[in-house]
Amino acid sequence: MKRHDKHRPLLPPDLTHARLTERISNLVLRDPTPRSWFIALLVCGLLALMFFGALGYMFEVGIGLFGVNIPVAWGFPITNTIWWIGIAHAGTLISAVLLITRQPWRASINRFAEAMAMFAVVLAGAYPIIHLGRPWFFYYLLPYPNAMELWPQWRSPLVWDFFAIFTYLTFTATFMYMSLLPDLATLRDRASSWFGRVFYGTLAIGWRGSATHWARYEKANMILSSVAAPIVVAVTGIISLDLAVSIVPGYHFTIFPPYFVAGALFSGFSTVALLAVVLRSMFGLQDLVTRTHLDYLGRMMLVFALVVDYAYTQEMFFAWYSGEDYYRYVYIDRWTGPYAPAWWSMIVCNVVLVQLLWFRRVRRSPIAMLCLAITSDIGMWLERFQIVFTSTHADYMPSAWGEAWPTAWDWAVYIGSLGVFGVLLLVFVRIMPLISLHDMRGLIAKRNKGGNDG
Amino acid sequence: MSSISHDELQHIRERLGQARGPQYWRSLEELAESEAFGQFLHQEFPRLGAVWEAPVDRRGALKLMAASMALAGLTACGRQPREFIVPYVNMPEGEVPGMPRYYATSHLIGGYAHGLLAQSHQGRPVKLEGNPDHPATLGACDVFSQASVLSLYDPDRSAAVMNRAEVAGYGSFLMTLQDKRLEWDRTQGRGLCFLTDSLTSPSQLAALQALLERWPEARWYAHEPIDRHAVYAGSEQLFGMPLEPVYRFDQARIVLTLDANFMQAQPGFLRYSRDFMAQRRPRDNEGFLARLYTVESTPSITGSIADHRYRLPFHQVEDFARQLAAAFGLDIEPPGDPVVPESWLSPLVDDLRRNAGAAVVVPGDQHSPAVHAIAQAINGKLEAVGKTVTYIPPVDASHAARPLEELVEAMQDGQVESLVVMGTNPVYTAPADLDFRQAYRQVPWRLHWGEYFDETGRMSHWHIPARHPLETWADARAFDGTVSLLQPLIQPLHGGKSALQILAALEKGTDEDARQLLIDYWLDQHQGGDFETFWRRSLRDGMVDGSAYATLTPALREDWTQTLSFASDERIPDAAITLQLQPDPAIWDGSYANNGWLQELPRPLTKLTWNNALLISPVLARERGLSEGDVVRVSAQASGADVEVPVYPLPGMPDRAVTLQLGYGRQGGGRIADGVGNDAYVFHTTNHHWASPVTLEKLDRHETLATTQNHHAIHDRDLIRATTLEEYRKHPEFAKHPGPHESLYPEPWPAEREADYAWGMAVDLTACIGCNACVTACQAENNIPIVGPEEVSRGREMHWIRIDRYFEGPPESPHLFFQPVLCMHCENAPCEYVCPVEATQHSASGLNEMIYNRCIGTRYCSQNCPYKVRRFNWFDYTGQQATYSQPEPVHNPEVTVRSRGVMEKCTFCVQRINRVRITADIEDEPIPDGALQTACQQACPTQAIVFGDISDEGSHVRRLKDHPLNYGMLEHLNTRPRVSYLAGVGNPNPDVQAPQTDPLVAPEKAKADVHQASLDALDDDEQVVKIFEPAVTASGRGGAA
Repeated sequence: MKRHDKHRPLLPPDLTHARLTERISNLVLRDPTPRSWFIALLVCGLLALMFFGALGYMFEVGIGLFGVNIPVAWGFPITNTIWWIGIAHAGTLISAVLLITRQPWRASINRFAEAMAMFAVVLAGAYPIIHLGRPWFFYYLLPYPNAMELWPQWRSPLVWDFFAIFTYLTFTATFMYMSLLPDLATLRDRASSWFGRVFYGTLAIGWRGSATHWARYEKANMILSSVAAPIVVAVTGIISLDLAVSIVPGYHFTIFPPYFVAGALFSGFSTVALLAVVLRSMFGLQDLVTRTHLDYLGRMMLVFALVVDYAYTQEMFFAWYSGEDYYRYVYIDRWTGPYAPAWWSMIVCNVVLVQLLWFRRVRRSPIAMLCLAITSDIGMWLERFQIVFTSTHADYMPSAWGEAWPTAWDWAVYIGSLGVFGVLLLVFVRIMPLISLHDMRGLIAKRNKGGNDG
Repeated sequence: MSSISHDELQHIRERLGQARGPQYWRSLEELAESEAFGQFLHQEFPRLGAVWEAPVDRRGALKLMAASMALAGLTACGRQPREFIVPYVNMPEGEVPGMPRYYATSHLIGGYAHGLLAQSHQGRPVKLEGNPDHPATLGACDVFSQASVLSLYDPDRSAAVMNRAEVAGYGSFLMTLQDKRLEWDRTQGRGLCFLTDSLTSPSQLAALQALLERWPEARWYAHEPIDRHAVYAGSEQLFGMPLEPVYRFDQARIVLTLDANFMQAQPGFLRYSRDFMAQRRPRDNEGFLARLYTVESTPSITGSIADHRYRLPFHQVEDFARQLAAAFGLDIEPPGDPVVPESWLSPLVDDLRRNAGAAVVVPGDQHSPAVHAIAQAINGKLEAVGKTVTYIPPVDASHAARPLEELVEAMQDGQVESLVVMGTNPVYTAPADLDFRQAYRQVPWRLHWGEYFDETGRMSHWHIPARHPLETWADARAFDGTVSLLQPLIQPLHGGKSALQILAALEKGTDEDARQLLIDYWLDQHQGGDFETFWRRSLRDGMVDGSAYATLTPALREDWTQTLSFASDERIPDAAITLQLQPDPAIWDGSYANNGWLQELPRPLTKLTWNNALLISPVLARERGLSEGDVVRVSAQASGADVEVPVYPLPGMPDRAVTLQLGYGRQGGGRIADGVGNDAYVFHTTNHHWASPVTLEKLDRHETLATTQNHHAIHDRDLIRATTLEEYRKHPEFAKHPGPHESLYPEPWPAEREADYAWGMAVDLTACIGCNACVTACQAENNIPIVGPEEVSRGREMHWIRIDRYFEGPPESPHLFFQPVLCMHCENAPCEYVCPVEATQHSASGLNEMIYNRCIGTRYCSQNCPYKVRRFNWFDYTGQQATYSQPEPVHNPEVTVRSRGVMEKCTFCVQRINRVRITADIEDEPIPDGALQTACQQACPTQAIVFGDISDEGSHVRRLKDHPLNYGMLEHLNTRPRVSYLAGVGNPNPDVQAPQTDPLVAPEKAKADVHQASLDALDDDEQVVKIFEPAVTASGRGGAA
């Protein structure tokens, strides 16, 4: 790692505390908004409108608009939930696990990775409610006091799901807000407008940067980070139990929790890489989010992709090894059935293309990383798609076999959710420092001390 | 609290002395208005103290009142529908709100009566069930009768007398009629013609004959689309008089059918199914199982359960009859080439001969008189007459009427001045080459009486709405001649007249009372005894006691073989493709086409709904490059008529034959019927009634067919277990497969919960004939909505019970297996533990219950159900805004109508269980076995479904559960289903060595055959037909063919 630091520094050599603060806070407070930001906001805004329009109509007439049926009663919404929750994972991992393991390259990417996690988990939490037959009764999932003394059914993974997503949302929000505090104070101090001072001042809740503040901040940060690691594993693990706890061939695999966690991190790192490439060019941050960062992200993608690929082989092996025709047939059907194109595309994205990441030139090329990040995200989405769709479409009774195909409404809600995500993220990077000031200052200080990372 | 001083008491006395009127006080202290009391009050009741101290001012009070009013008003949001509650002035005797009442009545299918019990909830008929005492049903019920209750509330039913397409009054019709009657009186009825459908009603026949006597020049013609003319013509050939054969399958051990679908499409089919299957169930009789040979063209449910099925194109069935006749030594010239190989025929003939007296040959109604004559002659040879077949006078009196062809001729010649069309719809159903429509236009005065303002009604000067069978007074004969009565359960919803009323109006010119007309007729007929008693008893029973026809023993005509004419003389060339027309298994001749339940009923063999696809053989499909849904143009060679219709490859069709069902493509049938499917009547001609040579031309178009089962092979899965009688005797427990592994963890066993009853069900796969009676029964009982073809093709049908149909063996001549699948009510239900809101639960007595109110629609239960029996309300299917909304009155008030977004599934008819349980609790008696029937069980004609308490050692269902054939489906998943199956047992003749096509000698060979005939046409992704469990079924249920 240090060898790399010498050759390929994570920071521009002439970066000082003052210059860094100036640059990043000016992005929010003074610099004109880049034209590309407006274009992106327009596109994402229109998609978000489509999302809400489609949902409004769906609430009006019913869930039947989606391409779901018996036997495939779960369709795009569940696919999307798992996909979004996966994306949400890398954010927390970068902020927390890399903090604990003291990886310096996290400093310039953790802020937008956290924001990404936050918004992704919001969408991940929305889909299970969207997919309900009677979404207005979603609160039946809550253990609220009621006259019938009815509680949720604790044996159902969907209840665990609800708590997992809710926990994750709470945690991510807390964690992100806390790490924003010192930067909010910086913005408050540098804001020229009255509104800016009040806005950032209120949010900064009196941060003065005293030694006591910092000591407490560091302590809280370490505690939250240590809590984060199990949460990251648990949340996707629990989501995977939705499938693994059932008796559906193709869902019922004990390998699912670690397999889903690996998949989540794979898609999460891919999305961070994607955002890194987009944001650094949008705001001209090529010297702060460097090719070395992309290199590290690429390595993470590769590692988790390989774990996912290993899980594929194990899943197939155990389907065969179980000796159950039903399980074996699910695989034959995935390879040759009506959904086979999804399976093979997934293999191309998640197994074949990711092998390019073995090459440093690829990892250091923004364009290549952008492309691979997109294909990996698509690959992971296809993985979720084929698990959700193919398993029940041909399970135990051939007479009940059937296919469900997504409708225009499915696509509107899926693509629309990308727009919602984009709008939230774009607004966030416009009003908040998209690179963590205090983490970067720490990194500069560390460099100035001569690489002693104590 | 301080005590009160003497001074204070004195003070109080003074004040009370001054006061006027009563004064109320809580205590002496209050009365004293002492400070101490105020303090006490404050300590004890602080809030009250506050009020006491600071009284509300006027403005405050007004504010509070206004706020309360506003809040109270909030709870009243939503407009309450205005309704009047009016008590009965005279309470009908025995009427208890909430308790259904039953009345015996009948439904006519092709004119033949099926005795029913109609369930009425406070004057509203909601369900029709079989009348256990009626010989045609014995408590079972068919799909048409059951669905007819929906037609009662059909908003498209004709609602007014129409004169030249404008609403008119019945009075003005009678006035017009007055002039006509005077004219008929003058001319002796010259030019007056009656056109009826089949007529089995004694009273209507008498009324009609009275008319014909009064106006001797008047003529009576008959037209029934699914006509049985050949049956009578055949017996006329053979015996010299028209006779109706009635089969006694309860006496039969060997049955041969000549394209006769006696389990679905012949008069008496419910009774026949029951009688025949009772001879075939190993659970009742292990010694012998009746054996069925079938020679048929289009696969039917009768052919599906046959031990030996030989497929022949329609026109070769007559050749086969001749070949058979020759084998029996009848003086009939055999066909040039034998159509069936000797290796198939001679074991059959031997088998029939060996069982003489207990064997019977059943010819199909649609086949030529010669086939009927030969079949009955062979029955004579087999000593069947009086034992397995009896003869009675024709039930359908309209056989004596003149045929439609003569009427059309007379119309074209201008000899018809006035035409009265009663019940039938010839504009739609008449043979196409007659051009009835054109001829009808030439008739100067046309009267139509029918339930719908249909194609014929719209072309008539006068249209009189008919009463629905549940609104009318009438009588009709059943297949054995038993006179069955129809009595109304409700006032006619749209006015409407009964047939007798129309006939009376024609005769007397007045509007008579429908009930009185019927009573008058029976008063005439009645001899001896008190009429009132007779009448009330007949109404209660639904039939006239002892009215079945006495059997006749006719003698053969000497020269019957000489005068026989064969249709195959003008034979269809072998190379041509033969199109066979058939009544539809769900909408019959089209008269049920506006019934949503029937349109959405998966047809037994194709599982097709809302359409009539052209059934073609897989071989022909492959040859022409056709797959399911590809549209072809079918052109009749003779008439040039053509229809563009999607194809459905059906294994078991003869290679060069195609089949199209009648009844579709309506243009005046109503909102549901119109535009569904293609009209096959264009191929229905006087020469080629039921079959004609056609050519097929593939078009570049594809239609999605709404089928409920898209995969037809069983993929080596042991869902259905079947064997032969021989194998069964060797291995009675062959159906028992290893159960689940024992769990390491303690499991909750709801079965061992404490309850008085443990409900369970056994379904006998030997007995199931796939007739759909249970599906319709469930639909009617449980308020199951219809969803329309688009939703069905998206996999969203709502039926709680489905009949799975699998093919096995070579695609040319496969075996068929039917398996009713409903909620298994697993003791260890996979659906229950995954529901996050506990909306699906287990009852103590073993029901898996849905709580609709609690369901939020996560659909996890369905995902986790290995049987996929749960159904989801994807949209609002039940509200009045739904695309195919059902009329509200048809809903069973005992069953919740489910709203959008909730899951539903079979409940084991919990409403019936509870009704019986409550009665039993009140009477403090246990529920006797058999007192409780689920709707599906009740309707089943073959008693394939048995429901009851499995904890009761003596119950029927328990005996079946202990039977060696009993097995649970997917039991290895440890679901512990409460519904189990009795494995199927067939009884093929081991001597039939040579099946029709590639023999099923060895499983390897058979698999190779299947491979060879890979049926891409049927499914893109799989071979349609696979062998499962070759060891057991290779010699399987029928040994092929």
